[in-house]
Amino acid sequence: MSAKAKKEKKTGVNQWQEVFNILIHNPNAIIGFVIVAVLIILAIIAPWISPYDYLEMDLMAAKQGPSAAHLFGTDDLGRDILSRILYGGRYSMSLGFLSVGCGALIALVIGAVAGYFGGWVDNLLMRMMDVLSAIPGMLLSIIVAAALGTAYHDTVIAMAIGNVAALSRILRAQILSIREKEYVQAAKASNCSSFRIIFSHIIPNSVMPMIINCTSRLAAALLFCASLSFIGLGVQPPEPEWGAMLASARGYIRTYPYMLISPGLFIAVSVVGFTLLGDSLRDAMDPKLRK
Amino acid sequence: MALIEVQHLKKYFDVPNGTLHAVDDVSFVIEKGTTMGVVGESGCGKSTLGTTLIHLQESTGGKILFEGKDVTHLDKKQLHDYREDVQIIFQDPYSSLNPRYNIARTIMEPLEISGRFRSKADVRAEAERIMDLVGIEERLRGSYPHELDGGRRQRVGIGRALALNPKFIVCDEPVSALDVSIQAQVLNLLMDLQDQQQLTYLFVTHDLSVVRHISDNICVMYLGQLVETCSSKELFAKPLHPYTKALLSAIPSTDVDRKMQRVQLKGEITSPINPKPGCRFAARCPYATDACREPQQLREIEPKHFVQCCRIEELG
Amino acid sequence: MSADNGKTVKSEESTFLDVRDLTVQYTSMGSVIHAVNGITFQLKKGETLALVGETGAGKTSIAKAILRILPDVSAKSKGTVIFNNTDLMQMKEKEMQKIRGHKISMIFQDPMTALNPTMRVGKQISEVISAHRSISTEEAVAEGKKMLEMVGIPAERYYEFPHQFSGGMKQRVVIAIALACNPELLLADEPTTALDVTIQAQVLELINDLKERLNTSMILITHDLGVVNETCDNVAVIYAGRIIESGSKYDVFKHPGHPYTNGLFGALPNMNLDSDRLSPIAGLLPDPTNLPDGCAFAPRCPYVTDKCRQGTIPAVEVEPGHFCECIRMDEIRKER
Repeated sequence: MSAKAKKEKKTGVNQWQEVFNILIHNPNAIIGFVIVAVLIILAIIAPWISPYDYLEMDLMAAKQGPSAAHLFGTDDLGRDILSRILYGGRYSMSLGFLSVGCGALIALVIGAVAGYFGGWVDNLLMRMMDVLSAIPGMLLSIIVAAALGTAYHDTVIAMAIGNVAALSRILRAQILSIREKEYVQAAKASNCSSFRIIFSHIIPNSVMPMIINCTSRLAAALLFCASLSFIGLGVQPPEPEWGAMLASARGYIRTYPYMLISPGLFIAVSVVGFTLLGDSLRDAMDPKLRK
Repeated sequence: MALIEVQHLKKYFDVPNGTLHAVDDVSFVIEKGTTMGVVGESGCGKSTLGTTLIHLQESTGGKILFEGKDVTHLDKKQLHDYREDVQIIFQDPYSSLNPRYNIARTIMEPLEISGRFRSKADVRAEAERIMDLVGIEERLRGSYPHELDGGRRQRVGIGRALALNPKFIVCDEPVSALDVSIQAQVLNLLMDLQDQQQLTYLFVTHDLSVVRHISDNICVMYLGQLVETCSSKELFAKPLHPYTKALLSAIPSTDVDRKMQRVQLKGEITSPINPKPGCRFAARCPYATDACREPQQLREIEPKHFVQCCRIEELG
Repeated sequence: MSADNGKTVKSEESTFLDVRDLTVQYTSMGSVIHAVNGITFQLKKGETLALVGETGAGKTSIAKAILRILPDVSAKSKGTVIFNNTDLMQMKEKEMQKIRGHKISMIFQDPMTALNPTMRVGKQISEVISAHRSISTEEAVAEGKKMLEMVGIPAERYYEFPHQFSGGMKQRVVIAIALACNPELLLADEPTTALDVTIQAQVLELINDLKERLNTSMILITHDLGVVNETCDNVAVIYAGRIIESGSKYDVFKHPGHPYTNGLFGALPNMNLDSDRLSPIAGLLPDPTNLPDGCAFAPRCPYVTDKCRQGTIPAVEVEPGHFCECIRMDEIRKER
């Protein structure tokens, strides 16, 4: 109310841009983003910055603690842990993103079809999802992994399946509510085709809760991936993956604890990063919190 | 010339406990270029009446005639054509616009679908014309709904309804969610547009003072039944049905000198699910008798003044 | 009742609520929302004051500021609120808790969400009673049932849940809760806006009746001038967080002074008149994050001059007890 110049409010800012603006001002979001960004970059440039080949064994230098030559030490087969961590990031990160992404895509189709068409289609699909969710997530993934095998794409599927039921339900619920909104009625009254109504009106306004849920699942996916490797499914030796590295170093917890500290730390930090980012994204997207 | 004629229209819904009689045996006529106001309180079925008339919902019984033709049941092609003649403006400016579309796109979409224009540029030009017509400033045409206030959003809703060049528009409580000073602007806009484009309106509202200004004729509904219909002037000068009288007297007046003579109704609005036959207002009517439990008829008590009440002559 | 924006008022014996220079600001994402900008008014015991205004005028914020229930993190309030000779703004939270529900009660706008859906309605009433009086459970239940009867609900319904009641009845329960401890001051925020017109009539009558019986003073927040006429003694018209007109109901309704008030009356579809076009107020409601200098109504006022856009606008006493914040009052009166 002072004599400052009246600023013209910028218009034409859609909701994604608004979310972005909110995130920029949130310190948690920035920390989370930085952590995730650094981890992704490290995973991408791993081949160029690894001091050693991650498979190269040097039995003379095995079981050595952190030193100038090996910043994180060497494992029981003489491989450089730092290089394995960097490469392992590729597996952990990609499996995390892919499993959630694939799960979301499948859920999108199932949820959209069930939500929009309703009736027996909805009933059938949702009962199938009920069956899927009756099996505990971890167990489900283990069964699928055991059945399909341990190839990379099999692991992705095994992990993705655990996400489908919940995500499809979330999407379907949102679609049921958006379907009745007045702008959808107005679109119908304007002779909009069903196709257009679903893809231009309903889906874009329904994905938000699903996306928010996905960002939370990323952190869990990382842990999950590590767990799968830990029990011998998922990524197989000699390929590095943080959980697998933890598993193979299990026996050395009292004698050479450094072998567990670095992969464990990276798992922890990445989970924190994803969680921070996911939580702030969820808060930024929640219209009620903005009031 | 009668643009819309409704005969014994019914719309029932199946609900877990039975059948909900949302609209029950409603008949009236709307002349071209006029506004028919539909008033009533919650649960009276006025919104359902509007959406059923334009086929957003399918009627359960009765007939709808548009320009003399029977439009009660339409196949896909007929529905497509019908929708270009009838449109709707919704009540809630917050949920009647797609939050992901900016204003221009909201108005352009029906224009694109209509296929009346050859190029995108033509569509855009027509959208600009409509936005001028409803009073949306240039600088706001790229905005998103959440950046605008209720009044402006409603203007967009009106613009969208006009896009297909309809003859008949159902206005479902278009100003109820707006502030008083903005309400007046939007009401004036609607009345101006009616004059300019020879539009016919069905104006649904619970606000009797608003309906008086904008309507030529009024239907009063209670729990799905049409209790009274006549010209706007007549309804306010000489309401006949006990419910109409109670409704009119319930409105808080802004006249400091007058002391309101209120007809106090007892009880609450009863349920429209599995209603008993007869007058549904009887449960609260100060004049109810046994005869009121018989099925009632809408009768022309005075010229062009229809009332559904068996005791009208006695009470008059 | 007087609102003279800061000038010392002769303290009257019967003034029992004295609000001076109340301001409320909210911060949200970097911008500051000036919701209430220097509100001053007094209320006598037994009096009903209407705070009239449209969305965003700041009326609810005033009530919440008095009761000290503004959100701590985003809202900042300043000013003095003297109630029974103590400044509520300076009170500690523990002491405020003794006042809320007991000496000052509030009825919120939406009856659908004002009640706890998982608690029986009777318990919600008795809970308030037990919180402020040390009585046994049986006595609290008995009191609760009495309150239900007082608002026209059969006492047997004490044990029912909110979803078993209609909107009008829920609002009656809300009123029962608010009046359970016989407060001296009732703040009612749009108590009938969400209700059907015939139910609104019943609830207004109930409020009027109870007010008289219990001699409760009331501040009624509404945008509906008809409701104001039927329930209130005095009116304060709020625009952009300031009281731009105040006086007795009779004065303000019969001779509205401020161009905004005049505009409000003109914009109302009046049931008793047969006019064709309404006279709306041009323009939009002001943006509380970006209020102009001078009179907030200037951008929409048909009588605006350059002087209107500078400095603070003082209140002018157009008739005894009737104030308007407009520097052109005399000229406007002559014009009309």
